[in-house]
Amino acid sequence: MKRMWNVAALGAVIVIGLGTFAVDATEPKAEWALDISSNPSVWEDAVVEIGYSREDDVEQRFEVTTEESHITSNLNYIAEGLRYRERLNGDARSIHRIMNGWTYAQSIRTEDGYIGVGQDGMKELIVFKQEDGEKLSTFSFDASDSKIYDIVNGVWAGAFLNDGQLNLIYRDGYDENVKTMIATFNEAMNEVTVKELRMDIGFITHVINTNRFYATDVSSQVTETRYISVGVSSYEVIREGEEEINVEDPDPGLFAYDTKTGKVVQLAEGQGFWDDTVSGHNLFALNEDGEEVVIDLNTGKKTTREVLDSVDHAFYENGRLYQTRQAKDGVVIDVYEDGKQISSAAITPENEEARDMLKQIDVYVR
Amino acid sequence: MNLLKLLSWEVERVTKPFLTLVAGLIVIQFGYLGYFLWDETNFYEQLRREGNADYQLSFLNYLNGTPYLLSLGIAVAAMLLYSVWIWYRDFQGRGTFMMRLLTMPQKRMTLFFAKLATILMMTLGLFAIEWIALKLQYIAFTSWFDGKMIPMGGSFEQAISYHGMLMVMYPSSLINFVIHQLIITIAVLFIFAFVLIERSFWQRTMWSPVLSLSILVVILTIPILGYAFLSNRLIYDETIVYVGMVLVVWASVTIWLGRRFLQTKLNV
Amino acid sequence: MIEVLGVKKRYRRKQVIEDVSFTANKGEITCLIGLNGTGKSTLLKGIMGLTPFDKGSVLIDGKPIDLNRVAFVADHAMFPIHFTIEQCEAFMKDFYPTFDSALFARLVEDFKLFPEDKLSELSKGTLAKANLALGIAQDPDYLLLDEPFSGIDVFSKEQIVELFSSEIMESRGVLITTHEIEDIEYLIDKAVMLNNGRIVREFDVEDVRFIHGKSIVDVMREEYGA
Repeated sequence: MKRMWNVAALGAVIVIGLGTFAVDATEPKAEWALDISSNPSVWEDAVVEIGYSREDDVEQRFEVTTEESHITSNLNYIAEGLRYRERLNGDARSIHRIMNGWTYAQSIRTEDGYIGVGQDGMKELIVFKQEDGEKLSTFSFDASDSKIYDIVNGVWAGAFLNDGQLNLIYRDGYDENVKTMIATFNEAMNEVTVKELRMDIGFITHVINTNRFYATDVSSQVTETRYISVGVSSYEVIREGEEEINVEDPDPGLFAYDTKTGKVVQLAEGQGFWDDTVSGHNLFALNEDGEEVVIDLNTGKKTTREVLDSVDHAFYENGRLYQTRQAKDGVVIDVYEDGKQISSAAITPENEEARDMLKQIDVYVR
Repeated sequence: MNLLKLLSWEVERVTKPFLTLVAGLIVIQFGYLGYFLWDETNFYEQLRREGNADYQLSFLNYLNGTPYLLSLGIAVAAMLLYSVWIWYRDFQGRGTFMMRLLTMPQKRMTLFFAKLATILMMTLGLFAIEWIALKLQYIAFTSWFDGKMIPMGGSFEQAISYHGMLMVMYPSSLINFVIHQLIITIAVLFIFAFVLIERSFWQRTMWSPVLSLSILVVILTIPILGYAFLSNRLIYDETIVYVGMVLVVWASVTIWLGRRFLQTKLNV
Repeated sequence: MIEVLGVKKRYRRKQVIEDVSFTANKGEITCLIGLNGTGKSTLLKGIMGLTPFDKGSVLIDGKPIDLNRVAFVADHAMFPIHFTIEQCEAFMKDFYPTFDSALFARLVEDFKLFPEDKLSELSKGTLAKANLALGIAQDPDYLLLDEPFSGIDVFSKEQIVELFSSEIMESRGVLITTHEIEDIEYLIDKAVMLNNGRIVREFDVEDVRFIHGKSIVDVMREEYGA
């Protein structure tokens, strides 16, 4: 029996050492609340994401809804899997599965579900389309075809729909030889035609509402419009001693691809915009003075309205404009729609752990 | 009860080597910490004299030092070796203890689980001691540099979570800690299965180590090859389920093999 | 009764035991006789399950082996050699419910053993006596002894032989292997002679002695041609 003491002693060491570890690992987590001051209906399906960073590193993330607050960073493998599963609604599961193993893809969301283009290494170009939010059809083009090879090797800017046909804008070549190209897939998605898109200046860098791979949490759906909002950049040549380096520099202003003329037009003058979004057939953009520019993407007609007194942390999400600001006992979130404030709420700490983090959090709504 | 008694005999037999290992680790770590503090202080003083002391040290700098990593490596190597030796030593020497162990009136699996429990207790013991050592080293680290007015960056938690090895040893979630321990257990089970298969064949063929190694390599690689085949068909949550199932299969197959060879095939 | 039925064992290419069957009765001393390397030790280890037979079976009183009733004494320590005799006893007490401490104490005294001695420090003879004491103190119905006399001194041999004829061994069945048969010739009830893994002769020692007027050694000479 005397030998049992050895086991007991080792057991005690384990309990003490791993006990302190367990106490550290199960420290209480910060808890937050969403306090709504006006118009609760705005927040019904909203999720507020909180990122806590220290020394430039995001250390903890939280999700807060009207009902609950929970941590989403440093989850265990099982919780991580469950969270992933929870976030995939019906149509997203099949799209995640089909994109497994792909090296790159871009997609947009329509009423019917996802539609887009992907690639499997440099071997294949695959187009996919979802019908009724469920059935997924794909068609593969072999990259041994030089036309397809060029698409696969291009830098993809984004996709849009025109006359029910999927179009992909991409860049071919580099530096001064860069060309903006447009690939159009027929409605059956088994044929592709490619043509160069003549640009007066620069090249197209992105097409609004295009997602990298997939964005399960983006609910904005693409509606067909005459103008497709795009981002345009030009190369700026920087000299470093003997060497000349081309640096991509976004052109100020709002641009769109005109599907009728096949040209890129400037919709708003060269000023800086804080954020922009497309909702329905309108393009909304917030400038640095807090003015909102609204452009009808069918007609190109532009209107401007005053929305915010000053801009600090503002972003568009789901067709609404959100602005957050630090207050004494929380982070206030104001919500605007059609140029008017429709609601206000605040993220407030629920416990000591949250209070300690308050000054170093960023808040985002989805 | 026999399991507990056997465990206590096993623990008694390993007490001395285990304490030697722990002492070695502590000497290496604290010795290196002392050197690190002294060296960095000198370096910082030199910078201060030159007037460009915008220099920040973090606990991670110490943890990434070769002697510290080496001490962890020694502990891992020692545990792997002991997992093999815990069986082989009973086959070795003038007194073949294995004859006694196998002819005792008890289920032979009791022996298997006693040896497994010994290894796991030692591993958990090392994890526990290292955690306390880390805490003490952090206290020494911060109080020294505070005393010398040398600025430090990062927290204890940050240093652990950015360290390649420590983040696996001490993950921020307790459930992950348990899962990692299960993986360690499976590694030990593979070693046990290897020894038992090898000891069952050693008098029949000189190729017994190669033979038993190949059996285990097959068991180890089938699920991995399976994953290579499935990885394009499974999405994240399904992959987690797959990995979980593979761990369960590995654990059951190695225990089953160990049991089969220990009970009906072992040759002393 | 220990029944060994049609057992076979091969190592690499060599058939060490070839279809061996015999019995050993309770209350009797059965001796497996053979030159070195004839498979005697392998048979004993096989009965104990230490080197499983390829074929055949072993029954103890008609049932599969019960390790509470059978003790095995090897020609070496069967304990880590840094253990003291005392530690060995403690270990045996922990795991053998039938271990008889009083009997062990008596044997330790009879054999003049020192409990605090380490196994590694014991002479071959003393070690053999310690092994035997540990085996007998298990209080088994059957005792399997592997070469208990090999390489030990005359006095130790005498002590062991004396023990065999004492009341301690009376009711037990003993299966013993040896190649030094002279020492125990007069104790043996039954002899099983092995050569090249086969039984070449199995006989009642008294019959041979009284009817044919031969000693075991005489029979060995006939069989092994030595």
